[in-house]
Amino acid sequence: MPREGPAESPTSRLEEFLSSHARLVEELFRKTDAARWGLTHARFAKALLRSAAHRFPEACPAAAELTGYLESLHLEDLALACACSDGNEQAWEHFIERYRQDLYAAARAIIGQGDEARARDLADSIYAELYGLAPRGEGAEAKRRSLFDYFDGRSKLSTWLRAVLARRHVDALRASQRTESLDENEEPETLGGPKRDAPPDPDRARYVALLHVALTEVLTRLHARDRLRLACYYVQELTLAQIGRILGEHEATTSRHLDRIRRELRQSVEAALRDGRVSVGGAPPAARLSEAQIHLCFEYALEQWPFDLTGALSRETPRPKLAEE
Amino acid sequence: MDPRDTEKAREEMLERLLAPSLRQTLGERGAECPAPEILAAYFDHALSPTEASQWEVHLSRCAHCQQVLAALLTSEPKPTSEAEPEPVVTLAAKAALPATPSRKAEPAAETARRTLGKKEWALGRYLSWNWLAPLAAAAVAAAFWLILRPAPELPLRVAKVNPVPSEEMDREAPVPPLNAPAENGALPAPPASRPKEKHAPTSRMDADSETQPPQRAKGATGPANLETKNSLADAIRRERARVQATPSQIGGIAGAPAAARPEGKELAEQERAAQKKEAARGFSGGAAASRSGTLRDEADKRAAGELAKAPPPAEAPGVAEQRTQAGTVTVSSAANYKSSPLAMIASARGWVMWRVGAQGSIERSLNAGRTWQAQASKVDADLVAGSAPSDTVCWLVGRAGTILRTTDGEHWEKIPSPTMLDWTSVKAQDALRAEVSAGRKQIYVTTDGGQTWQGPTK
Repeated sequence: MPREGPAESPTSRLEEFLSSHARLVEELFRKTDAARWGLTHARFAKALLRSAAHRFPEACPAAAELTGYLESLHLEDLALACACSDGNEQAWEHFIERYRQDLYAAARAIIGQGDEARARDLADSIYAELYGLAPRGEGAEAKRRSLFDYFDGRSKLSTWLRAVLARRHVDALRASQRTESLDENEEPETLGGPKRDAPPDPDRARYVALLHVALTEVLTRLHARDRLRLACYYVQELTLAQIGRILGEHEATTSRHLDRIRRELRQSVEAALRDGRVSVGGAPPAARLSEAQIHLCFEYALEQWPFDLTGALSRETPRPKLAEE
Repeated sequence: MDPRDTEKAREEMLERLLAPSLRQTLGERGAECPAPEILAAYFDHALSPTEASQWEVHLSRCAHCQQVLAALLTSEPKPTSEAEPEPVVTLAAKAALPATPSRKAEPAAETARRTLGKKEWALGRYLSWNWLAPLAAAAVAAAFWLILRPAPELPLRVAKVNPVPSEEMDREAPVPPLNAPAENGALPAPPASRPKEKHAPTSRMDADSETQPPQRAKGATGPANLETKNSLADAIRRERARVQATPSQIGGIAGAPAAARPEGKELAEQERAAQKKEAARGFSGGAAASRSGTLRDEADKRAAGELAKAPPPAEAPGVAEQRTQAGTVTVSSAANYKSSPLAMIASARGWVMWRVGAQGSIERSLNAGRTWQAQASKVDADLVAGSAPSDTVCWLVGRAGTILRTTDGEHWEKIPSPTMLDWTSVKAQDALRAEVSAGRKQIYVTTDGGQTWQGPTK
């Protein structure tokens, strides 16, 4: 099938495809037994069209790719979602019977076992939107729209429901944390590095800034999957098994990757400092650092982290004398 | 300072800097965040690799989406591992907030705990069942392979014979199974101190494993037998190593240099003499022992040199191992000795062995078959079977009513036979009690050392 022409929109091309491949739609319709929920061919085709349009927003893919995509969908779940969105009572009964307990269990797991009321509130709020009680839009344009309309069948319906729950909970949690943080005046804590009684090193702030910039740049240049591994482990504090579950790899593989990433990070930071490739605050690249100075960068950063980088930048810039030291 | 120590120290410091550094690089929720369905599909690994990689770029920079993924993990119905009891998202949300004065840096103790936990896991992963299961399976497979693979030819350990159909064989009784009870109740029950189920070792290998738990019958499998099989496999390995190291010491294989033998010059001379005698009688070690009956008959008539030059034949079909049982009976079966000039008898302990053959030849080994010494039998009849209830007591039977007995292990005396039948088997309890048979219907029993016989039992 040729790619879309300049005059046609992807949606129109998709409509054309589905209309010309009525047999495929009919086969998918029959395979999912969508008729038991009272769905019509047209309604089912519309759901397929919407899903494909979301997946291929810019250009209509080749016929084979589109066919493969449609066949990879969780079509039974999609049909159930369509029927529930349309208000089919039989479909709703089936949905409640099948997913109600799972939804509450997921809410309890996300909120925590100790707060049953919050968990039920979270799950009930989802139920309301699934049924379409909450009007979307404002004024005259407000209309009831079921949350099911956002389900395209790309994942299992159960996973999608849990993702909706999880995102809603994270939104609320982050909003509350952000509000609480405004009321707090706690001093930032250091990372627990060794405190020195010796007179302060005049280059201390510069060393810390150099390391900070070098590390940030190295982290930014990391491969996305490696950065996701690091973030899941060090920021989200997931276990190796959980990271492996997300990334679809064995936990031992995750562990090996983390070891490699740490080693490469250290080597990259050291190389940047050693070669004088670190530029702080738009200044010319700093002078090369010796091994002892590089080690001081790590030690000072531990003692002083987190620090105000802007302050460090405003105070001084790397001095060229470092190259001769 | 060792460069490796320096690298390790820096990596540890860098590890403690990673969490705050990463937090500063993570973005907040925005319009580019994927819809819950995309996150769910990513979590289900339902996205195409290309699409998954594209979304990973965002996921690696978005703290919000990472938290949603963490919450998805928490709410998974069947966790893939023993997750922490507290909700992940709660901890993660506190840690992943944007840099504000209230945000606490990761405590050093916490970092150390996570580092330590990682190291513990690194050790633990090799001890987990995920790794132990295939290792255990490989060990079991290796044990089975060691036990079940074809054994090297150790011909003198057992009597290897070829079935030769004949009229006489047709009327002879089949070989009873190794652990079969006595055919009749003529013999007194064995002493209580001699367990019935225990196999009498027929070789050093068996003697080594004599102290092991009772072995299951051949072919038996199961974990309960694994330990025994392992010990058996060890014994087999030791035995094979011994065979490969000194092949000439087993069965007196001709052609091995005597100087290489550890027994010394005198023993080497004895072995050479024994080999000559063997060759003259068709006992050219393992090769002759495993030959077909026809070839062996021919070899009896030929010179020893011709036999030595003959290539070692493959093990003939139908060759069966005849093992000793419960320290009472040894070797040959009724169907075998007609065609076999060789039978081997091992005492209950397994170290003392006799091998007998044509024309009344008898040899004894005091070291489980490593070396042999000829003994005078004073008879010319072929000896076909024997039974050695102890290291010094042995009964032998042969053709034409030949019955021999030794009570000191060295000197043989001829026992008056109740009949001149060709005896096919003997079962001895001690120096006085024995049962000889010439088929199922010709069984005679003595309880006084052969002075009187009772039978025949039909």
